[in-house]
Amino acid sequence: MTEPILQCVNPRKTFPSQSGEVTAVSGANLEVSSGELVGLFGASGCGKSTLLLMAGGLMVPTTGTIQVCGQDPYSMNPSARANFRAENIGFLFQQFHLVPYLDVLENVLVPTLAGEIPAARVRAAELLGKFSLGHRLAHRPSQLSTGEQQRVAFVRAILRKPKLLIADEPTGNLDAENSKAILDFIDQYVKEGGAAVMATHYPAALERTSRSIKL
Amino acid sequence: MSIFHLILREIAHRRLNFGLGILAVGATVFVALGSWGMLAGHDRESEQSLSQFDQETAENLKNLEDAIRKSMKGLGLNIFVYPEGQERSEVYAQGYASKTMPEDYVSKLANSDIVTVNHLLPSLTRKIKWPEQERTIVLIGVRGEVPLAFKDPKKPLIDPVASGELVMGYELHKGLGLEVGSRTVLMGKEFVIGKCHPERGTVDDITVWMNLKECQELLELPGKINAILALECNCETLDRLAEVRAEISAILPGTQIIEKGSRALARAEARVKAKQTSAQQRQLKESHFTKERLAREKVFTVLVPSLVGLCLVVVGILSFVNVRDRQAEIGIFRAIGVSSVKVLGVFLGRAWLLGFAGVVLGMVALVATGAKFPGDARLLDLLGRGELLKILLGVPILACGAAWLPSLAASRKDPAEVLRHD
Repeated sequence: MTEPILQCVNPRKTFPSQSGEVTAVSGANLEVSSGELVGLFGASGCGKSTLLLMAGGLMVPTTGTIQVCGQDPYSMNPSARANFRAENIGFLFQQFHLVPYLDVLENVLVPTLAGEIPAARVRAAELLGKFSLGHRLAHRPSQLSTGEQQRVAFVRAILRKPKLLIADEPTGNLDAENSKAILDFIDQYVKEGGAAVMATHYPAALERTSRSIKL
Repeated sequence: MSIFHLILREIAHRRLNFGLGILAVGATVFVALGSWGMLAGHDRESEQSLSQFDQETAENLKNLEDAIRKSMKGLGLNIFVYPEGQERSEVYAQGYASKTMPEDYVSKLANSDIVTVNHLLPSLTRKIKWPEQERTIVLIGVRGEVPLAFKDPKKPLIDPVASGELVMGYELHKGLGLEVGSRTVLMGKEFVIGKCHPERGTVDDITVWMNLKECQELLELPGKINAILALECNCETLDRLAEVRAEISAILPGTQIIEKGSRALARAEARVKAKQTSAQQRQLKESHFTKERLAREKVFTVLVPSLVGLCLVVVGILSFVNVRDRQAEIGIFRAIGVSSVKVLGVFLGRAWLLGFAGVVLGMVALVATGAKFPGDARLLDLLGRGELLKILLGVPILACGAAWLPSLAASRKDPAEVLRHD
């Protein structure tokens, strides 16, 4: 059996509040291997996003361990962890988080700010063409449809060929047609050997996963 | 993609924020540099003006000396008549004649039809030890001016010393604590101080003048004098001294006639006076410049720091607003692995560019308005290459300082916090 790309063992996250501690995530064991798309579902506030942030090396779990590609990102110093994220993890959010003043091509190239990517510009242009955005390279996010914006965000997330894709409600703002397209892209990424974990509460999206975990 | 490219794109996108920052820095640089230029120009103008004044003064003094020399030619000369057989070398050495001549000589001259002399002043001079004070003094007995019988009466040049009075030189009255009205005893006789001379820096400072008759009595030389001072001698020919000598010798045969160093002295006095006046005028001019500079400095020392402080606050606030508007952007940058140092660089780089653009705008505006500073100087005449470099580098550094706290906060932003609440 192949080594899991993502392994969360008894992760627990609590936040301090005025009425004491609030537990956002507790004991959601998770393993995602290469070629797998794992879905997370549950009611709003059940901790899907928190678990994804912990899995993505952005939020230290209160207890439990997280391992990505066999390494614990939280054992690294902040600078090394930032490099680790840049090398291994891609993020896709419901809000897209495109930089409003950069055009489509520049938005896709934002990961190069974290470190050099060989032939980044060529690869970015190829991917954008592949995702039917070849004619939009010089357009600003505000000039794109929501579906196009999410496709740009997806290309940005996979530019560096990450081993793990973290997708938090990637179809939350999209219509059925665009949702299907994004899910197709994620499927394709997984088929090409990537590992993905996706939080969603859309049944149609869950149907596309290898397996689902209810939180 | 480079950080520089990102900064330029962001600036182009948020033009208002960046533009306001540039305006704030530009206006501050305009006022601060303008104020500095006013002071520097004022200093330069003062220097130029004083230097020109010094040059003109030197030129004027030279002209004045020439003019005095020329005008002296047209004036009479002053001579001393000394007794027959008097060694001139002795006179030159001790300043007076040791031999005496009858006081009648002056009457002879006065009653003659002499035409080359205008004023006659007989005197009896001796260097003595003032027994009561144990001081060496020059004692001069004078009787004032003797009127010339064949000439219209003229206003006397020198007043006589009244009987029973003394006129004291500076060193004497100062050293003995005497003043007008004080009483003192000289060679056993009591006198009242009639006049005290100011410092002259000559032998006059240790001289006592008294009535001629009393002097003759004290020195036991009744009816004797040892010099006649003849003032304002006028002559027809160029060899004036010879002409006077010839006329006086005809009346008082054997007497020695020596020119008094009056012209040189008068010239020197005039020169000193002119120099003193120039120095006073220079002092007044300098004091005027200093006062003007202080007044300007007073305004600028309040205005400029206040404006710089305000500008730093404005740049700080604009940076804070910029950071606040870019929360999501910072979050995604950090999530995809951009280090906090690079995020700090993005914001500080922007502040640096803001400062640089501001300082260039301020300087260009100052030059473009054609502002002229005191001394008719322009900004680029006053600014050296070193100062220019310091300003061009210093202002952007100050802008980075103003943006430091918001930039640091941005670089330390926890991406999870930003993305979790999005």
